[in-house]
Amino acid sequence: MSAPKALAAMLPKPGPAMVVDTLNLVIASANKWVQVVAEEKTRREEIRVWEQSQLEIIHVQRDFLLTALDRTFDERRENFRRLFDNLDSALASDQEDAGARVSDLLSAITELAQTSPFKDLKSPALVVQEFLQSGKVIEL
Amino acid sequence: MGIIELALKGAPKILKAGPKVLVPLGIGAAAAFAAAGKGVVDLAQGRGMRKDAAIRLEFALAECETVRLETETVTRSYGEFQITTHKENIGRFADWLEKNKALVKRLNFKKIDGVRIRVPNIPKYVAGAQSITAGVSGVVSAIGAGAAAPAAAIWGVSTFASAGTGTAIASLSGVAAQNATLAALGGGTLAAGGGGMAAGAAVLSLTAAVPVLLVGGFTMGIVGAKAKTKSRNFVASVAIEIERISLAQEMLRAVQARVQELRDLLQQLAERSTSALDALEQVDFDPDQHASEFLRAFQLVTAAKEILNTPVLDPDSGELTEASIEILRKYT
Repeated sequence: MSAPKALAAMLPKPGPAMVVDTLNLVIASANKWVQVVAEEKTRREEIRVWEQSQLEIIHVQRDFLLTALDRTFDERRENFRRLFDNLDSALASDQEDAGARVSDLLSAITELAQTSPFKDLKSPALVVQEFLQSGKVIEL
Repeated sequence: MGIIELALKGAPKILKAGPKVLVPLGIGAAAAFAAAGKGVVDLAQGRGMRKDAAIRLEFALAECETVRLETETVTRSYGEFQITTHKENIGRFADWLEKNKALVKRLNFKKIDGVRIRVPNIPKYVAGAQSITAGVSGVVSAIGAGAAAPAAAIWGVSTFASAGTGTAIASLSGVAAQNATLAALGGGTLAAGGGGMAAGAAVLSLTAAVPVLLVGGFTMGIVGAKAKTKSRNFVASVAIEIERISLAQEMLRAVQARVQELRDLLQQLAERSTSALDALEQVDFDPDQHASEFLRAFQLVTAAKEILNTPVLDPDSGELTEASIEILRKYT
């Protein structure tokens, strides 16, 4: 027996059942493809929405924090400037209580310095408040 | 003669089948190629998206590292300034106290310019001034803050920044793992195709190749669609991490602003303290006549010392860290 004939003999003969199975396989594959493509499209849209909302939250946090920090540092700078002006006046003063005034002003300066500019950032509620005031909506 | 050659040999016979067979076969083959083509395009797009995202992430991490190093430089420079200021004010005042301790003790509990003077324990004060670390804990704290400044971790970038770019790479290797998963899935596809091939070989005709192509094509389409989604997910995660990294940079800049604030304060107090010490050293000290000069120098040096002892960030309360983590925990 020649090689092709031997090979052909080894292979099963196609019958109606095999044709039906093959057809079913093709239809199932097509259905699966359509289904998965639709599901993945939906999933990608969900990811897009999730990404957008997360970015929005971070932007709100950043806006809030940067504004709060700017204001805090500006306010502290102004307070220190005023305290040092008063300190210089007290240091140059000949009044009887000049030493006490110097002492009070130096205490005020060191106390303010020891108060962290970051302490007011502890409340996440402020972030929410700021966010709500912005009128934005987070899609979750 | 192999199966393929055998199948090719049988190909001309298909033409005899007529349009009733050939048209559906053609349509089927075209659909299979379209689905497979779409899958291949999706896969390629996904790969490109991931590559671009990884580059953006690396760039963002590099930028953050630059700001972190900047912060460390600023903090270290402040530490050096603290040491100089300590030496030129507290050290100098301690030297003066040691030279005039007998006279200074006479001022203890006297009220001068509205202030009751309490002379410090001079040997202890001198010993403290000689040891910069014992005398000025703020120096250590400031440098510590610099070292602890990788605020990338502060803002929840921990997933990437806790181990620096290494973790990012780990995430990327997660994508590689995805690829491996996809590759495995691809193997499944081949296996399915393999089954198709067996069926094809069974009928020994190109007609069977159409279902094989269809199944393979659809599977390729599925693989491509899933890979594209995974890539999209990775790209979104990277985009969020990049924003967080950017936020961490802002917080590092805030730390720099805090260091600058303390430096300005210390400088202002040190200038006034130096003037007061100059005035004190210029006189032949007599406690009855020069109590005011002593008081000014003592007050200003003490205030400068307070600033020297003020940490940039309070390591105990964790301020910035606590606030940041709290916010992130709540909203992300």
